[in-house]
Amino acid sequence: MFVVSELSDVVRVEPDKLTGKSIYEALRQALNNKFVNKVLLNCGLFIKVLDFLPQSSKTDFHILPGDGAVHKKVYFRAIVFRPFINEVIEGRVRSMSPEGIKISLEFFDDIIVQGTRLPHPSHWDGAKGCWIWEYGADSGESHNLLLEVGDRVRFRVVDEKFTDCSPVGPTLDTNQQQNLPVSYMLEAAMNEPGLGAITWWSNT
Amino acid sequence: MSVINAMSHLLSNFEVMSILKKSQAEVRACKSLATLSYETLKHLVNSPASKQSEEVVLNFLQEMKNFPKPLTKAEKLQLLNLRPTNFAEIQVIIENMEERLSEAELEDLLQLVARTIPSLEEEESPPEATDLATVEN
Repeated sequence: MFVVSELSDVVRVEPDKLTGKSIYEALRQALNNKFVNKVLLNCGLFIKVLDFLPQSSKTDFHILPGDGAVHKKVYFRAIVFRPFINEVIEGRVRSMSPEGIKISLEFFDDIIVQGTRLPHPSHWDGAKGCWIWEYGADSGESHNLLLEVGDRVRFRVVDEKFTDCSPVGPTLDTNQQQNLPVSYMLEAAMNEPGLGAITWWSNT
Repeated sequence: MSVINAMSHLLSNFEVMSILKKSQAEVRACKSLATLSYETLKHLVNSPASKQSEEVVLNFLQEMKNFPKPLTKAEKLQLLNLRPTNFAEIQVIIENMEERLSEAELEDLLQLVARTIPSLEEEESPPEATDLATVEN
């Protein structure tokens, strides 16, 4: 679920941030402030700085004219949330719709399971507002198993989608602002035995 | 910002959890990290990672070395993160399980997991709760 990524960046540290602690402590804080809880394109969701790589000591500190802050290029490692394809993860159902269900991991919410990737045969029950898996429909003896909001579920990551959300310039249409694309989206599946609500499979 | 190596190592849930718990000073200095760290810990507390320790992980990996059939790194990581207890749960983790493992080996593997990794239900101890409270502050 989590990986260590090696990254490099030029950081700016303001002079008042340098008092009373080591420069690397200040650099680490600046990096955390800049990246934590942000999605890095094709890299994942940044959790926190782990440590600095030895190459960092070879770069110079720069002070630019008219600015008291110090700039330095650093090489560092960070904890990044990026499940690999086919990884099985546990999460909680956040919401459901006729299209499929959305899963939350508390700190990451953009996981969707399309209706076609739910256990077969499943159908959407509009009155109850939930998905129902007709377990054992083939053998004639079917049991309806419900998925409800808040259920703990296990799913397999089948696809990841990164979208570049960097600003593209001013738009005249103000409504567009509300529909920002999701920068990191995971597609998940539950269509195999062992996946789906945890209670379906325990104590068998 | 440039990415040198997007995936240099894999981390287990337990490792992330212990790193986040150890970095309280850093968390206090950065507001967004405080929120993210709280949410991540909230997710991990409900997972088997909350009952693990360094010895548990080392012991598990040592025992896996003695297991007759080699498993991939990803499979071992998921065994640690999810702690499967029955056939249905373990077959989603191990690829082509029926071809690779015999029934007896599968039984051995399930027992190995049950023996080396503590279960989530065992002894409901409150230390996680207090740790979460400190993150919140």
